[in-house]
Amino acid sequence: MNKQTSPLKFLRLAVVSALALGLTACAPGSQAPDTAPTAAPVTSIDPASAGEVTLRLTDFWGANEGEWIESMVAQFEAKYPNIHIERTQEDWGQLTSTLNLQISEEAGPDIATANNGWQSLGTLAKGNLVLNLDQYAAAFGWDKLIPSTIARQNEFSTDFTKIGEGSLFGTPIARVQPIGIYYNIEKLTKLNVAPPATFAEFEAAAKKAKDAGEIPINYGSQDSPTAALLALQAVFGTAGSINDYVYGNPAVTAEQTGLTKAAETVQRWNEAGWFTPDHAGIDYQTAVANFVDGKGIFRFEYQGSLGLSVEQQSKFGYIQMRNENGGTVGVGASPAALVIATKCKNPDVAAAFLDFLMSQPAAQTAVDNGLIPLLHSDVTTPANMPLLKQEIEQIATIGESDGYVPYFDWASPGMLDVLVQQMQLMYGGRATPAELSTAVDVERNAFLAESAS
Amino acid sequence: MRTHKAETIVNYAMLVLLAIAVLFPVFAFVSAALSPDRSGIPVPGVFAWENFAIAWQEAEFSKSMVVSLTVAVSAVAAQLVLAVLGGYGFGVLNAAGQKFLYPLILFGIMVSIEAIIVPLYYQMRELQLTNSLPGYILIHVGTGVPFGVFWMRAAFRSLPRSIFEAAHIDGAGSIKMLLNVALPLVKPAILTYALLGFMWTWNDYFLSLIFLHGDNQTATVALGVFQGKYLTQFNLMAAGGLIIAAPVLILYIIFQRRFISGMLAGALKE
Amino acid sequence: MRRSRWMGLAMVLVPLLFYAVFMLAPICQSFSYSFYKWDGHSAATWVGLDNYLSFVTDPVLASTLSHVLVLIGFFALLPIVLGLASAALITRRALPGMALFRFIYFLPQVLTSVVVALVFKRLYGPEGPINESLRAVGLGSWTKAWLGDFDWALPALGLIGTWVTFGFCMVLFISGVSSIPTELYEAARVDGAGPLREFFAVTLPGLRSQLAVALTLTITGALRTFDLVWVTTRGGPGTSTLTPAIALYRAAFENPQVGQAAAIGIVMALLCLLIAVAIGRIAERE
Repeated sequence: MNKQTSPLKFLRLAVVSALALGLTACAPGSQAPDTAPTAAPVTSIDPASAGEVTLRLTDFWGANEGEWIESMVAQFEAKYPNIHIERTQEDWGQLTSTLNLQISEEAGPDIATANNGWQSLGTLAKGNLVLNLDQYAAAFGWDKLIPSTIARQNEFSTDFTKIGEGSLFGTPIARVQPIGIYYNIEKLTKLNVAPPATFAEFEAAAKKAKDAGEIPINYGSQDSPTAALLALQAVFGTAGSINDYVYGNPAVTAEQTGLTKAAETVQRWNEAGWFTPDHAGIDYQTAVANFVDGKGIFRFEYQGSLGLSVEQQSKFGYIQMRNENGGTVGVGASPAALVIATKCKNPDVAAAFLDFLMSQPAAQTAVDNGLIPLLHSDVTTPANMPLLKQEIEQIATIGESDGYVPYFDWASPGMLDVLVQQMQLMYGGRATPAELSTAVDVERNAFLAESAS
Repeated sequence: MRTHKAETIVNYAMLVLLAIAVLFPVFAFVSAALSPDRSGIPVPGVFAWENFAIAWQEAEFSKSMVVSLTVAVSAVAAQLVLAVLGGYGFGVLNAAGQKFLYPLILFGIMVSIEAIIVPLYYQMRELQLTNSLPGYILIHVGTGVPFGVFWMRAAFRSLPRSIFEAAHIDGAGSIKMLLNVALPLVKPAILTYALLGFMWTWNDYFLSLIFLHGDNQTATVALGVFQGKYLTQFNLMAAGGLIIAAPVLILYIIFQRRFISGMLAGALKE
Repeated sequence: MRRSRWMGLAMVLVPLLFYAVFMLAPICQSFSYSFYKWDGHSAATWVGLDNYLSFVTDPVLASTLSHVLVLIGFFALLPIVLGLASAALITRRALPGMALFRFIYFLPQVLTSVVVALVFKRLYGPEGPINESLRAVGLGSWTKAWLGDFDWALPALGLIGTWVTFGFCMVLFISGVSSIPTELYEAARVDGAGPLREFFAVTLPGLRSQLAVALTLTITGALRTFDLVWVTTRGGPGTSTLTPAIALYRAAFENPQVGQAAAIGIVMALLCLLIAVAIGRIAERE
């Protein structure tokens, strides 16, 4: 290096110029409005009179869910030939981590699927990136259509200190997606075991599978280990405690929601070798693919996410495990919150599409694609779908015992990260189940403290 | 002479060993790409060439490859123009203020993209240039200036001064001199720079992950998304990987000397 | 000639403009962002040096720096030692076929990082070639999920870096050796120096500038690791492979804490600069 290009000289220059320019720079974000977003006014709820409109939709639905939304778009466009919807599909992780970027972009989506809770929907609402939908709720009659337990999943107070009350910032769709257990019918029959309904029965079945040299539980914990934990939480915890925790009641601890016991259980299974060997090196998509290929007897999974063809559906069964305190507890939530971007030029049309996604045809289309309907019970289940029939029956037990809970990771923006990391630490022998719960409480409490201030 | 021969054998043995270390992972990947098995475990004697066609369709590479190609070609073209202007201005014309300006530009070589990415994103968003190909190309052009100017300045300076003096006496102006005298002589440097620039732009992941979404995705990001979007079919993913690596690999095979000498020279002169 | 100097200024102003808009201005903005707490949307609040202090107070962020130290061992030290050893062993006579070997060694340099990551994801996978080979030779108990193991994930990632950079270092050193004047070696042999002393007395000093370059590039490469980790482990298991660049991405875009992200970027840039300056000075002083 010769004298002229000496790095020291650059450093000096850099500091001087940085100081010069840095002093003139102003605080970031000072142009952002400080006022709370008010509900969007409604001009018309009839898209037919809106003229030629093109809307961009970005969602994270693949497999059966992807077919459902494709069909919904086609039906909407057929109903209103003047409306065009351009759909983009991204994978779940990619979209939830970049939605707050995309939705503020000029060429970004007008309508998008957000994850409920603070991580995604809360951040979007707080940043005034998505519309307050209160006016539309009144105009379209959503306040009558959506039960309050479901509606509150999309509600935030307009000062953004509370979740579960206040204004509506997203809508559900006419589908529900609990976490349950899928099982391989052929393998379970071979073991001569009936589909388990209770936790004790499940463990007995898994033990029998292990003794027979099978992989009892198909699992991959590299990127997405939480389904098993949350399913077990719904076995040990009460619906009330989980609801309270997620909606920000500081008096409830993670331990009281059954989380510690759930963590102890998965850790015990891990140590007993009930999970797929080397699950720490298996990612979500690989684990699902392995299960569909016949590796493993049980799998904890979000309903409808296996991407089964009609022929494959006859090979798998579905269980909604009973709660240890009686009844059944399970996630009673739409698989996404649909949001309208603040910058959307035709919010009325967008709202009409959201309305359509909550309609009876949407529920029927869900069933036709092997998915569980919500908001409407007047649907007919196709005769050739035994798995779906079983899923509907099993999931109905949640409603019968009033056991609906939200997804646990909605509790704070960083909750999903914390759960994933803590579970991996636990499997790596670096954290105990009690420490996992403590870390969850710390994350949630820090968030509550910050939003209160 | 015996030692000479033994030495040669040892040398070759080591070279071969290291070559195997480099090639083994690549070989395992290629055999995964040709495997008919979803998990990518090779089946002896069976080569599923159709994996390439299936991957091409499923991941919609035709879209993202066109994006990558558009970006790389236009960014390199613009980078070249800027590099030639800067290199000529500094290297031949001794631009006024170069004592301050040239080190200022060189400083950019040492600035990592991470230091600028955050405000860059928020500023581009303000200008509505996020998720836009022109915006993304502009970023590549802007961040490519330091190395480009440095590279072309060195190339122009390596030319003998006498040819410029002769042209000057003949009455040629600065621009005429650049077009007629200097440019033809630095063609090799331009070609090397174009190759390196193409490779860097094509291989970029970080910037396009942040700045482009959906239909605007580049091939590298599309491959990463392919990984999370469908049930894992590693054989198809590997085939997709080879597809997106192909353009640069082909250039590398054709111009290997230029690539290697260019990267070594670029590194050493810094 | 005076006129041409102004002409030259006019020319360099064009690239300079781009440079100023896309690099200089953002650097300065980064600097000012780093003193604020900002979620990217609402108003920002001044927090002084808090974002920088997180490197001390936040154990997760602090751990990214120790991960970098491990990565430096694999990205920089290992390839350089390997490269030096092979450069020293290979005769200074031209070997026929060297062009082919150079072509192979340089291959990882031109492969896009996403593909490199996938290549190794396959290699390290539970049913990948490494585990299969272990099973084949009866070491089944040694198999593991290399990228999912707390002890092994970071070294496994590091070895990817070794694979990528060692060819570059080696080719760089071999070309450096060939430009060391032969007389120096002859003089050393006349003095009765063995191969080892020859290496330390002639080869190593002769490669000073190549060494400086290799060190600077590989160390800053280790510090800036993003693509490899993003595609393979995303920082997991736990946070055991989290790098500053991943932390920056998360802070900047996933859960926006823009000021924190800017501070990470500034710290990374300063470290890169510091490393370059330090290595440059040492190489110059010799």
